[in-house]
Amino acid sequence: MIPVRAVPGMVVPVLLVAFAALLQPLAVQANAWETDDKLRTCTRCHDEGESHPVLSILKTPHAVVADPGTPFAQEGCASCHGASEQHMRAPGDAGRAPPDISFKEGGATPVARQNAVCLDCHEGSTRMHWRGSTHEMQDVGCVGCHDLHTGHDAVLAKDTQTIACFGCHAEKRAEIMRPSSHPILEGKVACSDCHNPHGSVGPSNLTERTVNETCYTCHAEKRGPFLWEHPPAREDCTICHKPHGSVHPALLTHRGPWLCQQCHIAQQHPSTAYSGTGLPGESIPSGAQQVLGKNCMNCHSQVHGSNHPSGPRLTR
Amino acid sequence: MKVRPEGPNARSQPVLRPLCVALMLALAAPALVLAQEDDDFFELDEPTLAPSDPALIAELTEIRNYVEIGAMYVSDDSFRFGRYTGLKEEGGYGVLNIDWFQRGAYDAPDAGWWRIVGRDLGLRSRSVALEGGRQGSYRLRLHYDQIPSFRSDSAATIFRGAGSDRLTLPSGWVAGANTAGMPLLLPSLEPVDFYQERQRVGVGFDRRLSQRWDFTSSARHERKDGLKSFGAVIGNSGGNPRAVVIPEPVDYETREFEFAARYTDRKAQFQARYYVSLFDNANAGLTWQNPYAAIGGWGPGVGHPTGFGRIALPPDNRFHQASVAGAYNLSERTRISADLAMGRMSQNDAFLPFTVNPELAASITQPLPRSSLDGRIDTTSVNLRATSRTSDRFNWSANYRYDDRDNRTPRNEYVYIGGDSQNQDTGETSNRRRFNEPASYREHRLRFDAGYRLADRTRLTGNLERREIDRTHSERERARETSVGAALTHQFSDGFNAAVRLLHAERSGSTYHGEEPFVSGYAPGYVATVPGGWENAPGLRKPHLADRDRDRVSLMANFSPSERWSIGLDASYSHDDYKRSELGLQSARIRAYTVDVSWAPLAQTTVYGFYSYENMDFDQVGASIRAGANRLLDIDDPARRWAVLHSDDIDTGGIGANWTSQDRKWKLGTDYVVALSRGDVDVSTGAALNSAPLPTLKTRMHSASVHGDYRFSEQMTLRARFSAEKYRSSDWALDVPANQLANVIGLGEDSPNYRLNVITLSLVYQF
Repeated sequence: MIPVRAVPGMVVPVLLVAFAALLQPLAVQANAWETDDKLRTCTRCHDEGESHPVLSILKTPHAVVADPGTPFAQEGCASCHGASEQHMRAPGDAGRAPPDISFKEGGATPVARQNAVCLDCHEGSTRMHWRGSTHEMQDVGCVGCHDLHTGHDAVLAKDTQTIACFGCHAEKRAEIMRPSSHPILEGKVACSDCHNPHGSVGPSNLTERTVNETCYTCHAEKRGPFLWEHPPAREDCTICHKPHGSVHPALLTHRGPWLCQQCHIAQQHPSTAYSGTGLPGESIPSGAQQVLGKNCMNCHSQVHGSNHPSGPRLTR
Repeated sequence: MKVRPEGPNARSQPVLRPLCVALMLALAAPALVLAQEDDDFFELDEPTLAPSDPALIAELTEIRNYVEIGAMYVSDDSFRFGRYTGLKEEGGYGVLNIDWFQRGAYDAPDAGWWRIVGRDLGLRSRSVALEGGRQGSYRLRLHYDQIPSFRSDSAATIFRGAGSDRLTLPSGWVAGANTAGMPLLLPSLEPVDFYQERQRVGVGFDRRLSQRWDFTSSARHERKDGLKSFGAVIGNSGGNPRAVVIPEPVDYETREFEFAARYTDRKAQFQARYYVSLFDNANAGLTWQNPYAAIGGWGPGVGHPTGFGRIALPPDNRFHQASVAGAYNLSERTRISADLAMGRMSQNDAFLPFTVNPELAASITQPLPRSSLDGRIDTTSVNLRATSRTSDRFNWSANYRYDDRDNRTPRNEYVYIGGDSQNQDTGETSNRRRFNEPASYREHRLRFDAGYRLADRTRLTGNLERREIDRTHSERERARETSVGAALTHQFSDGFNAAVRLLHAERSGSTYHGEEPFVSGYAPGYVATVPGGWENAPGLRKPHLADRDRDRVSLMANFSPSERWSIGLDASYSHDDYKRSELGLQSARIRAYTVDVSWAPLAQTTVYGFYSYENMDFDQVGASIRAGANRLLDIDDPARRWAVLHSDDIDTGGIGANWTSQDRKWKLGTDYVVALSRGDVDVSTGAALNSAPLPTLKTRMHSASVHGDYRFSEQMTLRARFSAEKYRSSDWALDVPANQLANVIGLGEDSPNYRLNVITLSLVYQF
């Protein structure tokens, strides 16, 4: 059974689906490419039997000839691959010449030249800071992540994006499987929700200009400003949290009370040596309240800041 | 690909394409060459040998949509298994996914389109996006997204009214000075589910105004509600705090708006953007009835049944940010860009009173200095970049970043009442006289990156970075860090490349004044009474402010001996040395290894495997400091020192295989994933202190699945999946009964443990 509580949440999706159902299909696909000389020049060889099909480009926005923003209407495949005269000649002793622009990492065309073709149309917006970015400096090609000859570029979908990212950032795949993590495995948070792989002005290619600005886009309640600030929380969330995953609760870098004691060694209980002596004994009650349960946060809960006039110790 | 005649004479009728003619006319000399080779060209209408495959052509060129509908069954309850999907209870759930894209043929005269994508519509993690418009002209976006987050299903509370902003005890509650004196504690416990759920609705509109200008706008409304746990204390110090973990209501609303105008051409790009975030919390505070009887050190009316505690919940806040960004290509190889953003965070919720308890409130002689904070942080961000590929071998990038967070929040003195438990103490030497410390932060960062191709297959990159940070109300007002990195990448062959990366960074700064927050945060009269004039031990260095040397090395290799094989290896080691920290974090060592293998033994068959291991060791030193006369002696007494070694080990691995039949009717696959983690905290102490070992913190997750598709007609596919998952964990901090501690009433939670199966059966209709 679908849980009862889930029913109200179904309303909006059902309405959206119903709205879509009312719309009429705009048109059906036709095999017009079979009579289009611009395309036939290429597709008579690069046909449906290709191991890396090219015909599926016709399903993509790149091929929409009615869009004046795409050059496909004028030049077809040559828009991106160049005129490729030599490629169309019969193979010589060294085999067939590659196209003028071959989009393949490690292929005949340098990555920078491949990317320049894409940037000709796509250098604005969120790709404005591509040049000079971490990925660009590492010679990452656009086609290293994007699959252009398909109707569904996996890297653009939340639930499949990580396949491309983990190809290079394999350690992140392990991190998101840790006991405490964001819902990345479930496809509810994508790498691109926090990072702009095309380069940004923030650290670590973050979508916003600082770590905290990025975190606040989902955790706005942490923004404040608060009367009693907790300075590391105000400065950088990653001082205490590991956003890709942690073995400790709440994505913390370490477990309390020792995490707190990295910054707080005051007299009495903040400086006590906490260990197994604080575990439950044979009788009840027993154990140290700074070790068990929420440890320091059994009392000092407002670690992100407090706006209560009596909250300087972050207990209010 | 179809078989075609090979050889130079295969194309017997030399015919030039119009484009080729044009090129040859334009390029006289090459044209002679091309003319001699004209007979190499094929004739456009020349038939190929193999017949077309209409079905395959249709699949490649026609947009295919699908609806998936079915059901799944989960065999057992587990909040953790379904923490982000809602699959947390035994029973049946609906499967409904849709992807429906409608657009004309690629060469249709109209570029109109619309698309609806729905995911997990039968679950609480459902999302649906509806988009449409005319490509190259405008686009309208509507989306809905729901994200549940279940935190616990074994917690219990003694309070009634969970979800409201006032929690009360059950009638007849018998209070005690500690949990031992509360006979009704365990009988009064009622289950409470800690969960939160986000529901987002968004709309966006993009419009291309001309070939070079476009406009984009979006609005998003998010409602987040549910319960989270909160450690709530009454009392302040001297052994009188009494706490209880309570359910905190989450009833948040966040609205975001974004507008941007953009200019793009091949030479220059520009963007002006305005962003607004408005956060509202339906609850200003949370009040709870004191379950503890009056104890020594508490003021009148604080103990049960009259006493209450109250916390402030996150206040409403606003963020506005305007930004402009521009970039200009000086040449095909060189580009400059700049980005300027100015923003303001503000918060001005009315303050709660110093205390919720009226008898204590009556003692107040120094009222709140203001009725609300008028909190404000002005942010300025400047980014400048110049980058160039000076030649095919050499590229470089120079970046400057300025990040200023100017905290303009008014600073005042607040004579607070500790934990809703004491009368206001306004004495000159009172430690209740506190000043808020609106800290500001300013960072300059300069970074140079360069890459040089030493040979066709060898590339060297390097970077140099300098950061300078100014802070106010901080132990260290100026910090600076210099880092240098290098990487060498070599392609040994077409199927084998490897890289080594090195990084070294050093952080230092101005004199560390550990007493600063204490001296500026308390009244001078109180500071003068404290021996040494410090709160934190003078030898402590907070890790994010401390001197630190960081070294990191990583190795990477990718090996593809054939098109069927791909092997990736990664290894890294990182060492942080907090070299001047007498107390606090001393060092951090992180080792990580990853192996990735994929293999395609047969056509349309893939096998994959991966394994990652990570070990993180952290050394920390502290000093156990007593109050009074011993205070100054203890900070240097080796017998009162303690040390902690944190060691976390994580193994993550997986294997799987996928197979598709030649006729594409069958798709079968299987996956197995294991994730194991162990966390050890090893405490050792000087002679004057005691310690005992702590059990290892463990989690073990095993997940296996088999899945398959059977396409029994062009339109219909039957999809089935069986998954089994086992999760075991133990956490000595969590696995304690609600009455375990004397002065904290807990939640009586259990670490998540489950073993369950999920069966999913669905039909996929393609159209």
